[in-house]
Amino acid sequence: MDPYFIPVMLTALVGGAGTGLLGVQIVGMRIPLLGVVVSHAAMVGAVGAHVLGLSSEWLLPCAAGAAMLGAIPLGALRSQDTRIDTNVLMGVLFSLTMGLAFLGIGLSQREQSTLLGILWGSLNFVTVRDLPVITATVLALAAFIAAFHKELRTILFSRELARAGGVHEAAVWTGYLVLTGLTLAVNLNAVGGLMIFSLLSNPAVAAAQLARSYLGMLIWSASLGAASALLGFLAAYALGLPTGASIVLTSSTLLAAAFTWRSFDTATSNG
Amino acid sequence: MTGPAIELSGVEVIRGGKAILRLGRLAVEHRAFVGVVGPNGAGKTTLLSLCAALSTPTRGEARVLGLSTGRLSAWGRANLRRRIGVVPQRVDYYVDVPLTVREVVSLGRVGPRGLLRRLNARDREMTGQWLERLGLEKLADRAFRSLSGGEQQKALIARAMVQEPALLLLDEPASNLDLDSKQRLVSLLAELYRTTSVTVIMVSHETGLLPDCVNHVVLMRSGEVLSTGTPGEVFTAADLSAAYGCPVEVVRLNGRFHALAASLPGPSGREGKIA
Repeated sequence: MDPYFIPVMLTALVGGAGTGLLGVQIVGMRIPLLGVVVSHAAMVGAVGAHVLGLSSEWLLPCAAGAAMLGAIPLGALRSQDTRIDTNVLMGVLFSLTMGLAFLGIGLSQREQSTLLGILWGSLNFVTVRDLPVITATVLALAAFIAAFHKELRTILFSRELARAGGVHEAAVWTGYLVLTGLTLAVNLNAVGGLMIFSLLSNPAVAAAQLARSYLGMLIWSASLGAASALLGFLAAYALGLPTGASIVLTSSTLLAAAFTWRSFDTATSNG
Repeated sequence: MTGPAIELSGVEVIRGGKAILRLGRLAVEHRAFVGVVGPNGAGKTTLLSLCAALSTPTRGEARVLGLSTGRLSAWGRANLRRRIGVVPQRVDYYVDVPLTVREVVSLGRVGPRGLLRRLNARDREMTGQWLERLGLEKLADRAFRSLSGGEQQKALIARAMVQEPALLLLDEPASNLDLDSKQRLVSLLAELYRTTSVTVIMVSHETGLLPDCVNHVVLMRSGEVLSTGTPGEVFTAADLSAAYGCPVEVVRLNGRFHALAASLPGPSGREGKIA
């Protein structure tokens, strides 16, 4: 394999692990649409920068800014305050952000390859410069989870009970959402705004089938996210497939394997 | 600590332009066990939310453990809530998340321990003590999701008690349980009250679920207090009939008051006495 692909594979590993880590909280709180809304907000930021004629260096800061701008108010919302179910509200916001992104694409007079990269993503677009940015973001996320794991676990069990028990859940959750916005924005180029959802949800759902503790779920989810991205890329390289689609299908296969293992394990334990 | 554990004065809670709670004055003394009773929509949970410092009144003052909640910052209210244990009706969580009973109980120590501090040996010791005290030690390493409804409620009570709360708030903790589990939970709450120094407020729409050690009752209807006093003073057929909007008979059994609908329409539309 061409040495050009070494940073690409490292990016796949690190980015996949990062989205896997993120997914534990998002899936565990049953708000998977949060990831979709935030990744689409990131898309709006990047497309907006492109439409405004900013240079390519500005795409990532604009994507990260828009993602955080979308994530923070979403985190502050509680369904009892809005009187709208959180997932319903996110469904509405998902279609809004999607509409805005496609509006930008339609209005753009510039070449479309950058925009297509944002939409569909490709590890082949990743450059050596991207790796430190993605690595630093994922390390920041891992450090945040390590520092606030007891609060995050409490929020995961019940955000309302965490609040009732004097946990500063709003501060911790907002911090988490800032990192969600950043992590999804830096991964946009590699996986694409449309497909990143699978790397958020599939590894975490699979991890829940395999793990026996919260820490175990984090480790499984990060590992499965990394494996999905790397194996997906290698499959795409070997078979000449689109990278994003290959990653999604790989993560879905790993999820199916986890469910099968869980069923087998349960049957063995009962039998 | 001076003053009552809870003191609500001239409190009004308005949501969507409508007053959902209106109280003149309500005080709960330290070491009291107060039952809050009323039909659905009476304002019981709103009252409990004020007592838990989870919300503040639109008008008036709510003092919880000596602090006026409306004058505290969000951060200050969170710090106050560390001294308040809350037990909900049930927890709606993603059951595939692997949390053991021990882990769920230890979550009660997270607030009091504070940010950026790990749970330490004392936290683990307290968790172990409450697991043992509530008879959960053999279930400690099992998945929380695998417990029965009654066992889950016990774990949630243990989770609240490891906080070392000055105030324990129970929001219809027995509502979703079967008959046997309900009785066991009521006995457990009575024992808990007798053996600790905690002030307890328990919301219930069934009078019979209040333990015999309840020494004060607040009967509510349509966001207002209909009557307060000892269970014997409040649980009269007249007051309960007015609160529930149907004829009620009261039966006293083992020190507890059971409100029963006095009559129901029979199969042919005629009234049939059931108690």
